[in-house]
Amino acid sequence: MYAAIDDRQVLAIIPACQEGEAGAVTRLYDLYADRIYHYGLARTGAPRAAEDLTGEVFLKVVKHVQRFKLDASRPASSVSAWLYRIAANLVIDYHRSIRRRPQVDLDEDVSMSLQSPDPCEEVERQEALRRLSGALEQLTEEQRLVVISKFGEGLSNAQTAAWLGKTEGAIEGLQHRALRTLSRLLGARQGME
Amino acid sequence: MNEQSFSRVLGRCLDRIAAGEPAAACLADYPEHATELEPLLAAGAAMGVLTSYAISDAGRQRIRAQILNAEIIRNQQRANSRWHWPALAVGVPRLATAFIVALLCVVVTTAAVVASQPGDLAYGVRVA
Repeated sequence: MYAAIDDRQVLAIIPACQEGEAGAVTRLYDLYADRIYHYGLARTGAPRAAEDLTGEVFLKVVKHVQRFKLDASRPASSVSAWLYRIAANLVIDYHRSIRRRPQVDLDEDVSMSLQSPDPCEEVERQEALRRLSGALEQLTEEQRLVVISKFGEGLSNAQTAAWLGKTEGAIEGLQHRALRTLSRLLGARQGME
Repeated sequence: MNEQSFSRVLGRCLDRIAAGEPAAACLADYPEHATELEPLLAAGAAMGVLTSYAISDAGRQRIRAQILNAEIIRNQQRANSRWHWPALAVGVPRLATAFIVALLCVVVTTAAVVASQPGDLAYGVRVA
């Protein structure tokens, strides 16, 4: 789905970010935005919130990139891991804020549905997204990263293994357990409808 | 078939489906595992809703502008801060600075006591 991120691209951009070159973090955003967006979308179930969360990840990068230690042996993976950690922490903040103000996000998504050419189909799609997002919250973070990178980014098991620093067999096992849990949760919810 | 082998079969089926093959073809190839495979492949298919969403063009441009703005402001703040702090204090933690000052006071006081002569204020300390 996405072009693989080249280690050479990352080796060129990160030092520029750390030296404060204007536009360098913006280039990093262009490289990673879609991946972080789909992670945020999977975790929040809310498209607008996922867009905002993606932006916040990179605003944090602007603030903290000087302290980031790039692993030169696996530059793209080390940057990915860092960005996903920032995103995971922002997701926690998001869920806390939703518990305090549950209506805000629903209103934004409803308004987006009404603007769609086929509002009924859009509502169904958003409901499927919410169900999936709720089910994904029951997985471990490792399981989530495996299924989101496979199905959201189109990474192969070999690519996911390289990124997470695991064997392909371990990735297959995580994928199996994740899908088993998801099928149980999504199947149970469908049974209730 | 043990769990590890099944995980491998599942992985192969998912790769085939990602390449465009229908799930039914995989289930036909592994009939002994079809009952267990089918719900897992369905769960994988449910993940597909993620890829039906993308960052809006307006959202992308808005965020790019916010990031670029933040980079410019950060650089301006860094440029300004270089002119306000003495070079010695830049990068030196406050605690370390306090320790260095305290150590200097002790060294200077000790030297004054050692070098004191009768009649000097510090001589009383030296004698004691």
